[in-house]
Amino acid sequence: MKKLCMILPLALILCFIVGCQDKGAMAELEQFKVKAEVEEQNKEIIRRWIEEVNKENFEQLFNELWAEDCIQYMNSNPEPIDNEQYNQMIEHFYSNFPATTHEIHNIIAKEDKVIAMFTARTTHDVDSYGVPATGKELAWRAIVIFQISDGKIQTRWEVADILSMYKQLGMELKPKESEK
Amino acid sequence: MKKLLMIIPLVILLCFTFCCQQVEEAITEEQAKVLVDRALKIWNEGNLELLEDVMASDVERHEYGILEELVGIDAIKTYIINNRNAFPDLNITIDKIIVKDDMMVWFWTYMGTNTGPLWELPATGKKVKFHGVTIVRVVNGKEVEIWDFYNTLDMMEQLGFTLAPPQPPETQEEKK
Repeated sequence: MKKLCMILPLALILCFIVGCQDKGAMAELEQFKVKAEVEEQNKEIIRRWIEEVNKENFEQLFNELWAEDCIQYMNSNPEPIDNEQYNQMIEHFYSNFPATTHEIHNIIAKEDKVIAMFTARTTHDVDSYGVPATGKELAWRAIVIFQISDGKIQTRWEVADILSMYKQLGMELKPKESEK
Repeated sequence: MKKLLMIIPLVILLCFTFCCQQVEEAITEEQAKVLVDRALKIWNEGNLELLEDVMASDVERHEYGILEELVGIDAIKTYIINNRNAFPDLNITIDKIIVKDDMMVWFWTYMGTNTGPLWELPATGKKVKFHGVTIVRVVNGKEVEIWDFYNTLDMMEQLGFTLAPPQPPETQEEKK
């Protein structure tokens, strides 16, 4: 009788464990794991892009991480820019702020999207957007949403606080000439 | 002894059940929708009493274009009142919501007519329309941290402003 008392609960537990591990649930768990893994990989791609990119390695890193037919929406402009326009933009940017670095504060991955909040920092050590060098440290915040397909960045939406960047350069908002 | 033998498996079973029900801090899509609906009532209709339902008392808001962070419901309330004074017909629509763990990401469109003063600037009478993204961290069903991103320059340009280069005092003197 005592032995039966030992075996019965054990059998119950076994049934319970086997019951929990039904195949449907296992498959779902497996899918979930794969999804989580892809999300982690996508995060790493974006972390590399944002934190490692600089004036020197830009071209090489861009070719490595971005899809050839990628599309970018910059600063809530409804019209996307293509690679050629983007390259011109970057060249222009680095000629004004050669020493820019980026620090990620928060990164969220969900399915094929990665959302990153970061701060861009630079030293105003060359003439920037027509303003002579001051040596001042500048910082502004931005958010970027990336869509990644098969390990390559396909689409990017970015909103950067460029008004704050210009203001730190000493520029001021004035009513337009025609409207004075 | 027999009783003990009965209790042990029960305890194990209980432990197992608790392990399965791992306490999740994540927010559900439904909870996110409720928070968004309330946020729209607060911003679009000025229903400010709802603020205490959706935000923790020590909530922090990191806003573009404002240097200090807004901390606490009262600071956020003042900020919303100022916004609604500047744009009384303010209408925010939500384009997309992404929920992940304890974070929500809202993509929105902001439309309004500037018929009241905006910060220190007088009313321009102009209409604005711009897009932005808000990220919200939720703990125990309440918003604890909010990051707001939009192109402030775009908004100011729509209001009729433009960026002017700095005027260092030396050059002004030279001109004289």
